[in-house]
Amino acid sequence: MRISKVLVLAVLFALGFAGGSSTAGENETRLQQIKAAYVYKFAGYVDWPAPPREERAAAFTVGVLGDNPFGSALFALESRTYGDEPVAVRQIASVAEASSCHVLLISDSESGRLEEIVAALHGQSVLTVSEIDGFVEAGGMIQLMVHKNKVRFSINLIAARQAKLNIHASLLALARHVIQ
Amino acid sequence: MSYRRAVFLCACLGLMLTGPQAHAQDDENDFLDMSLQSLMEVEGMPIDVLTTHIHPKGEWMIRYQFMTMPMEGNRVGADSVSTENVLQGYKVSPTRMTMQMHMVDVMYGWTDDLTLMVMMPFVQSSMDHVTRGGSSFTTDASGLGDVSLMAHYNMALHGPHRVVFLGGLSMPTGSIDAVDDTPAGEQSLPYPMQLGSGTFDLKQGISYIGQTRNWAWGADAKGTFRLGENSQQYSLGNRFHSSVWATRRLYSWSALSLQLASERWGDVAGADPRLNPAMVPTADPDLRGGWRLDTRVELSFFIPSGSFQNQRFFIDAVLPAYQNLHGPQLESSHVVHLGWEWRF
Repeated sequence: MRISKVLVLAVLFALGFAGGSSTAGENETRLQQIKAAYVYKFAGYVDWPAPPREERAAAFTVGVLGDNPFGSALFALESRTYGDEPVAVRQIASVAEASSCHVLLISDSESGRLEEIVAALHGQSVLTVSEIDGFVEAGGMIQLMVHKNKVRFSINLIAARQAKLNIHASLLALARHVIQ
Repeated sequence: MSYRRAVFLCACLGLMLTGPQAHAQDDENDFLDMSLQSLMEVEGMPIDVLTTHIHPKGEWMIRYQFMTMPMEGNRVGADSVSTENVLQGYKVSPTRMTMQMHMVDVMYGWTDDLTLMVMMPFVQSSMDHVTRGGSSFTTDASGLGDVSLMAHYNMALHGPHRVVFLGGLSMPTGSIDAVDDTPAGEQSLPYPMQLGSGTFDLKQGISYIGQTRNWAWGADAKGTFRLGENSQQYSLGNRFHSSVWATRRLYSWSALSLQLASERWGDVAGADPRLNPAMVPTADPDLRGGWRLDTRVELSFFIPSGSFQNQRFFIDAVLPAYQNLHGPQLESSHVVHLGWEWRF
């Protein structure tokens, strides 16, 4: 093959590679985006007890314990509000920090100490959400799963009531399974 | 591979990498704007233009493909040889063959992870010859090929990654008794012109698939293993296929795929007693094997809504990049597929 043809091919190839650049959003899986949207939507079906004035948070806080399972799709919630409050997404390092959150997303990476986490959060008005298998049976409040290529969820109403959280009947009706 | 084909492939790669970027970000906001009830109807893996080998439980898919594969000129090893050269060793030389195939596949999602499939090909082949004496003739054969029963088992890995196991059986429904008129009278047609293998063939394979919003990619390895000899005391060579591929969503309704594939196939084991291997190379069981490296470009279009919802149309071209044949053996020029599929 002549040098000139090789150069043309090389230029075309280089243009091909140089022309494309992926954003973080592009690499996000569709499923992660859907599940993050579920986390946001759940908040609209839950009532938290009103905190004392001095303890009111500046933002509606979604905490993540462990490896963030939804990536940047979860931080997209910060473009939204819950009522009049902006949504803030925080990576928390320990269960002790969870009390400042309205929603706590517990990652699969924490499945080994799930019992300990649930026990530590007992009675605190924090809506716990996770994809961990058996989460609701272990005392978690809302478990996400994929069933027939669509995202579904199960609810542990007993755990929610113990945390003084009121889950609307309309959400219970949409759940795949409710422990009550 | 020719210079023009290489330029074409580079242009496709360029289009793939410089395609629209905005779509993914718009969809992120779409999900947040949906009601929970609407969100519950959204499919995790979209049944759309990115083919993912997923058929949820209860889903059917019908696919029709038309394939045309012209083969022209002979090759020994990696070198093309002239017809005159072939006629020095044989009384007859093939010069060109065209195989056309109409394939109907029916798939059904038995469970969310297990898909069952029936593949039914109808083959039409035509081969041109010249004789040492200077005359020419054409032979034709057509009919049902070998019907395959297959199963895909889909195993999800972490995140967007999956492995698909493929297994099945090809049944000897295609004829191995095709005959046609030649200058020597009606003759049994040689190996490439027969419609089937005459044997039950085991098909096995494994695929890795990854998928994000705008990309799908994968690699696969498949084999076809002949089980015993057919009624004419021979069995076709086993076949091995491996490939890597990537698909890029261009718009919500179209995608572009590139694939690099290796195809190896063995010589015929045994020999058809009706054929004279000294007459024409296509009758020689030891000149049937080879190896080919192919590049494949596919453009597909998907209809997401309306009266023709969940239908996909595709066109692809397979361009051989390298061929090494036990020859003299006709070399592949290109392959074109036109297809349609419908999920419901």
